[in-house]
Amino acid sequence: MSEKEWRQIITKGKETKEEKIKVKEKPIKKPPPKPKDKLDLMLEEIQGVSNNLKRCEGKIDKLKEEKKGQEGG
Amino acid sequence: MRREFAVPERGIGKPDFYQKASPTRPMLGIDQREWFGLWAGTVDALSQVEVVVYAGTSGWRLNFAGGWLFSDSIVPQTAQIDIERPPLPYLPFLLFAYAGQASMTWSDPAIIIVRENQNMRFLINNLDIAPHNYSLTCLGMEEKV
Repeated sequence: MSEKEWRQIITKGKETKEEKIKVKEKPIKKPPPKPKDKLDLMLEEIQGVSNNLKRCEGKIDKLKEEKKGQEGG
Repeated sequence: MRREFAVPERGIGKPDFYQKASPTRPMLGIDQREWFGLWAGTVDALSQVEVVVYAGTSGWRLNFAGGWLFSDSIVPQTAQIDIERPPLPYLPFLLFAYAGQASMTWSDPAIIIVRENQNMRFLINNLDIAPHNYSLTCLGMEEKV
């Protein structure tokens, strides 16, 4: 438990008072991550396949260029 | 014919001797006074602060009418309002979630009364992983008891 300084301005009838007050602060537990359902797992798999395809495309383009270079040379 | 009479003080429940309609009739009686406040500060990541907005005042009771709570975060946040009614400890009467700003006001006769020996607090949660600024405004009316 720690303390923080906050600003307080209160009006009661004709009187207004501004002052610094101490408020108590404590940590709260983060809720556990939601367990993944079938849709989440399927989306992850699709994303993984998509990433692999992108990597392969890059390699295919590189190989094509090398082949052109060899045929030209 | 000439009539003379002393005009009594205005107030709720008192006869209205004014000869013309007043667009600014007072809403509060002589035993009532406005009450509103602003509380502003920061809350660390994944933390909760306790802000006591009303500590029972001898001779008065608060008719609490609601307010606004603002957070400069974009993640959904939560807060709750508790009242301490001895001999019971602080107990919540409102738990709510909001994104950016929450506002809740209600009018007579659906008001929350906080009596002389009672206290009211807000528990403000920061559910984000970064600290944020918060601003709370509460309003109501105090009455002599």
